[in-house]
Amino acid sequence: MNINFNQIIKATIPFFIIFLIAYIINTVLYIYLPKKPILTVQKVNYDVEYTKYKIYQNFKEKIVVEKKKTKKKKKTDYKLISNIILKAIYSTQNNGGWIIISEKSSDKTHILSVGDVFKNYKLKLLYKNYVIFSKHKKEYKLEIKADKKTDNYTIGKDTNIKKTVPEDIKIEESNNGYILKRKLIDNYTKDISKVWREINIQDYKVDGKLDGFIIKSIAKNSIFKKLGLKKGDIIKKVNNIALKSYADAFGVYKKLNRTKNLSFEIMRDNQEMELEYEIK
Amino acid sequence: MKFILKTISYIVFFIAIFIALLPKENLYFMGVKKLYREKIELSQTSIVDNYFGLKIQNLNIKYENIDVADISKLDIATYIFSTKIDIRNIIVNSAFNKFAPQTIRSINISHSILDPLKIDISSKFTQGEAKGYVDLLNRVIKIDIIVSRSFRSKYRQLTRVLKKVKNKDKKREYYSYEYKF
Repeated sequence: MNINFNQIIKATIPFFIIFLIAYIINTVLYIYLPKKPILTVQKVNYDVEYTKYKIYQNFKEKIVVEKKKTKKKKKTDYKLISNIILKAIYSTQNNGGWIIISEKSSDKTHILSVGDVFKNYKLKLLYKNYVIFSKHKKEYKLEIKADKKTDNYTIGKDTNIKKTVPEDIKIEESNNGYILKRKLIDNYTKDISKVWREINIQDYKVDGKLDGFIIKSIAKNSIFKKLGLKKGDIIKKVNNIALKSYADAFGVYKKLNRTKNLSFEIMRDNQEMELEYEIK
Repeated sequence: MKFILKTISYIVFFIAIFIALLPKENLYFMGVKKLYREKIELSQTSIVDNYFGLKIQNLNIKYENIDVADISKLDIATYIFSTKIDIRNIIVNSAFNKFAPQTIRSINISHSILDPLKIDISSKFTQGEAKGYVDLLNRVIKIDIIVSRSFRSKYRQLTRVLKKVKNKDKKREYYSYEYKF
């Protein structure tokens, strides 16, 4: 058998060159490509409990103790919306006018004109059914007292959102605010589909960045409606956590079964509002 | 004729050697890096680089730090004339159970050099199956989803977005999804 080695070498040389070319290209690629995967560092979740009410309660207890020792009165921040009743609005042209308010505790009546300051709250604007006070760059809406015949119910501290509440109301009122039953919250934390069934929210963007969630629709008699939320509200913060991404929203949702308080910071008609509840 | 056969054999040999030596694991890392910039995080327990493919196990997908899905097995196989991606056991986060089936048994994506402008997609899940393609020329993704009654009632929000189509014989209904990119 006569084997022509020269011919075999001649035939294999092009394949060897091709192999070499492929090897060089892949080596260059290997040098260029990353050698290790991205190591993602998980954000440390301190998970500090939202204890607005607790702080308030502790603070209140402290005052009592100090009272016994020094018998000195400490001034607490005056809650305008919960302590006064708006009785009448008289508005004139050129955004002027005056209002009549009465204090709940003493039944004292005051007349304020636009620009007047009452307990550090400045009367800013008058509307048909409500007025706007401002304090420390924050705005407070005070609505005119509804007729006693109407079955209205005020939900939320320092806000005056009125809503007809059905008889099977599950939001109870206490000295420190409003109480939500734990069972009610658990129903929603166990089944997220219940949330989607009752509320339709969409991301709200400012300059292309997510800055809260806008409520597109709410089901009748849903918990969200009972909480005082309305269509068009922009939820900015929940339990003091700013909703700047979907992850923030999911983070809040995940913690709901552990939290003892629930608060919403919302924007309604370009006014900032806060709704607060205690979960028991 | 001899010259043509020789050229074809050189090309085939080059492609085979190129694929075999390709740093596939590193290419995957680059893909992960690019997705990370889009806020999509991929993490896995093991990557095995074969001569003609890549096997990834226990892949976790996160978007904006939210768990989206867990994939038990992802196989990418590149042959000389075709590429196949086989994804097995996808468990979608329960938070999205209104928008997508929670367990997808398999997704198969295949591309052949014989039809270079088309990528075929097929999927099987508990209550149905889906078949579709990506038309690279017209930049269209079309997926037909054949589902059971229970799927329709369970994923109303998903079926609302999809177009309902009736077959010519009107015996079988399916949903169609079309997206232009």
